[in-house]
Amino acid sequence: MKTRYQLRTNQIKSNQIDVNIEEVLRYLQYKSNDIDEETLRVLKESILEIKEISELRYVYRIIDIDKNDTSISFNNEFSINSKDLSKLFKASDKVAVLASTLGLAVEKRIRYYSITNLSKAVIFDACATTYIEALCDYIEEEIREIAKEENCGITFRFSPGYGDVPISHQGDILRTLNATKLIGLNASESSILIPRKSVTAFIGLDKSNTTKSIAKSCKKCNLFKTCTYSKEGGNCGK
Amino acid sequence: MENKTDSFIIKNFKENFIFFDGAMGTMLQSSGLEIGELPEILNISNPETIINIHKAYLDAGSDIITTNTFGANRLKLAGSTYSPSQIISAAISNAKAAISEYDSKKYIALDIGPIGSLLAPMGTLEFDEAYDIFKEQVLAGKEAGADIILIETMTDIYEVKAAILAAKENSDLPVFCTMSFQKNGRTFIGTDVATFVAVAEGLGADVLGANCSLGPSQLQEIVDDLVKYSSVPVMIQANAGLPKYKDNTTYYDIGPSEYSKQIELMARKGVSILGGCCGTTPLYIKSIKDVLSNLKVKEVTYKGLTTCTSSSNTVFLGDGVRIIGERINPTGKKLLKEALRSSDLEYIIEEAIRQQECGADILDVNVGLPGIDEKEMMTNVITEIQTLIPLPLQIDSADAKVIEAAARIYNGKPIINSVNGKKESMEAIFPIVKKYGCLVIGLTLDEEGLPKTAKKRLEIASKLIDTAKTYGIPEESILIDPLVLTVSAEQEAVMETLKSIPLIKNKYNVKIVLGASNVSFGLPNRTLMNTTYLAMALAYGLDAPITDPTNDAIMGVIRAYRVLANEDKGSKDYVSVYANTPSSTSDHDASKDSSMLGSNNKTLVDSYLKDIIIKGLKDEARPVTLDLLKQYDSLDIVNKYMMPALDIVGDKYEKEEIFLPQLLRSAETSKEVFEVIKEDLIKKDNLDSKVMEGDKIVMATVYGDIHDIGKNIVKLILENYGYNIIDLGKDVPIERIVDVAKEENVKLVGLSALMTTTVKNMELTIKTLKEALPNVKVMVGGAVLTADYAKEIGADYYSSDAKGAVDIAKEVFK
Repeated sequence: MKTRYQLRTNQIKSNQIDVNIEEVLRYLQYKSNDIDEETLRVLKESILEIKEISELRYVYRIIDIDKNDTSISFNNEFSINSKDLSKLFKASDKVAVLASTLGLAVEKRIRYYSITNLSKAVIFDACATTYIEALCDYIEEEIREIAKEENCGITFRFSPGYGDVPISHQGDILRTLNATKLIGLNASESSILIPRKSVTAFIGLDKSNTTKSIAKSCKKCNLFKTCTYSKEGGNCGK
Repeated sequence: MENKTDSFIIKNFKENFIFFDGAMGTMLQSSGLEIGELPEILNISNPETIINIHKAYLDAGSDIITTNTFGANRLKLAGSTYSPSQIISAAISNAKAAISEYDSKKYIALDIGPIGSLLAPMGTLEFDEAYDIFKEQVLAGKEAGADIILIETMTDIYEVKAAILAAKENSDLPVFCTMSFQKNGRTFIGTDVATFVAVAEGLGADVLGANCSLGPSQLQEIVDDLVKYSSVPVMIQANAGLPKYKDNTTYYDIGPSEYSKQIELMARKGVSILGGCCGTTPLYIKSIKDVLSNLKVKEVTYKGLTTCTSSSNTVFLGDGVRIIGERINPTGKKLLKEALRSSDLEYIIEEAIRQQECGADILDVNVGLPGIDEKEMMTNVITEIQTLIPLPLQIDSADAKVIEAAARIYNGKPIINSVNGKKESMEAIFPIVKKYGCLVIGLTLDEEGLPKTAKKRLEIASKLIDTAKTYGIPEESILIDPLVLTVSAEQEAVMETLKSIPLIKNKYNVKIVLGASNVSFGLPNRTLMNTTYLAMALAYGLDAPITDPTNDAIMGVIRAYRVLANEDKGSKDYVSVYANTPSSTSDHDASKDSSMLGSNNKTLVDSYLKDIIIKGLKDEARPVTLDLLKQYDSLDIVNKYMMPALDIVGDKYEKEEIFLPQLLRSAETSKEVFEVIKEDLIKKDNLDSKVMEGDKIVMATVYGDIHDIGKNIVKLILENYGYNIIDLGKDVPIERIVDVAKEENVKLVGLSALMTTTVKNMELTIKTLKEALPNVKVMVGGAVLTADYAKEIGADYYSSDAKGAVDIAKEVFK
């Protein structure tokens, strides 16, 4: 049977995923622990609100890849010219392609606050970003289990927009996962995911089983210049 | 009227069930074909396979087969060598080839699925473009000989509207339409069944229903709602259960016999058109046909409901008092007039939100003002309000062209305000009401003017209702406004309006609306008069007052009435509002203190305003500023208190003593102070004050990009420094930015783009701007930009934050 059929889609309850407040503060560029009471109140209120209205949905598929030094073909359905991906997947024959979203209610609420209450919008947006990342961590653990069954480890999670992979591949990913129909995720003509609090990513099933040694070079990341981790002298762990 | 559908197909079947086919995709997969990205191309590359699948379904007993054209639209086919019409014509040929081998009458449904790109404003695909895409498919299908247009698997009611309009305006074929619902009873985009039925039925869908996303047992609750609300036949195409995973394969978890048991249950509830979706095969169709062979179709009942909707929310009129908020109407409102003249949508949106918070169910929108483009303003305001709040809207204009433009782009089923008994008015308005499936307010006046008696009102109402019926508009779509007279002028006739209410309602299934505030004109204590009259009108059977929901006295009458009329069960709502003395739960409850400060404690007030801004206590800004305005010139307040406070805040931010959320709270507080000052100047007709004449800056998030938090932050801070920002919003076409920059003769344009893909549009915008206006300066910002990159794309300035933008503005306008 072709890998086309190896597609999993799921919806989980919002209480299964937590929002890490420290992480939110980092997105908000708080550099000290000195958060004021009002911001903390709005932050906590936002987390409750997001958990209440989110519909955590995801879909992923394990896909066979063909690769050379500069390009990866995903089961002949689409291919990506990328040295970064080729390097990342050098010990992988199979890659999990995933898409996840908090749903359109969160999108609507962000738009509402960005007009009616900008200070809350900024906090709310940061909470939602943290939340969708936490959902991806959860999915990553599921994929790690699948990899284990195949005696593999996993690579880090690589999304379009990182390194030399343009976001224009969003459409390919959504198509291959049937994600619009299964989880309600869309890409605009400019490849913006809508709802925006959504993530697509690749995770390699790594035969060398040396996940940790495969560290992404910060300098290659598109976010290098604005990365708040590196400003603090750290890194994102990816 | 028992069945709204005149479709020949439905009539042909009379009391028999109609059977669709099952899944195409599932059959293609099991045929062993290597499936590329676009299964629609198989119509041309592998017609035999498609014909065989159709035949398998026909053999199983399908009456209607669906063409393999789900994604045959110009966006999805963009990368292929075939046009939609080539694919569609091949697909219909294949269906015809399959049918030709059968003696009994079989039908072909042209399959139209979602475009695959979200419509604006949620996405970026314009409504008119979506319409054109569907139109191309409809025309190709009609040309090739389809019998039915099947619009299916929709999740966006706005897209449904574009598709049904395209089908109805470009063919006479019957339109079947299904949406995909989740377990929570809503589609991914948020539409529930009641809203879908109200909108699709209004637009003239002949059959509607649900398909895909769930198995038949999970769809039972959706079915309950469909048959509860729909006056046209209901169709269901469920998946073969829910997807399960085993040994790395996906399968659907229920077989044909269990499937057909669930279908039988649906048929007993009133579903008459049945088929299958993902995972179903001819075996399933055969099985449901067998199970239903001894069952009769349950007759569709006519519901006669009066509903209006947004894209996600339906308001049922006649089911308790509904409040139509009247505040978005410039008549007698200086501030709103000024907002309309300066295209300040923000002010209008605030009015909308405030009315919603106060308990309005529906909002009237009237933007008619001499000197403005009412059509453009109306469509902009409606789009903007619909993006932010879920209340249905009432399109209020004296101009039929404005009404038609608004009804077309409206997302949902609106109310039209209004038509009257004059021939001319009915001829202009009723066609719009019919075509777009709206409710309409009928005013009881005609060529003879405003009637004096209740009887005459009933006569005009009858004329309106009877004429509407000749256009195909059912009486429940009409709301009669029996028109209030002013008691100080025509005291003896005032009761006639109220007496007409039961007269009209006893004779027709129509609802009554009334704008009640004119009654008190010319008298003191108008609120007392208005509330008394409102209470009387409600008792006479008024369904929906058009009134001011921000007026506590009026809302009090309505709340009390709801208790007395046994609508507010157990007085729950009433008690929740009035049991506790109203006390703000805000953390900062100092607002009450501000009035205590009075105007004698000068220094305290002075420092208090500064303090409020620095601490970001927005709720307190208004009362304190109003106090200050009693003794200071507005410019003084800005220069002596606001600016120094902002400097302190900016300083703290730079020193990292405070962070972005706090900075923004201070900025929003400061903006509120500014607003109060401006409102005061407008009210005093003091429009020449220096405070009003900030330098103009046009700002926009570029075409294709929908991120606007960053742009809004920069805008807010620039406004704090007195600049007059013309905010064009997000996803703004290049021409619009150029046009406005030209019209307003601005020196500085600020652009934002957050994605690598949209920086291209930023570059193009700058180029076009510079060609049209060589002297205009452009500043840019956004996550993917750097100073170098900005220079490369032709920008004059780059800033990574709002503070930088202020510095740039100061330089440009020095």
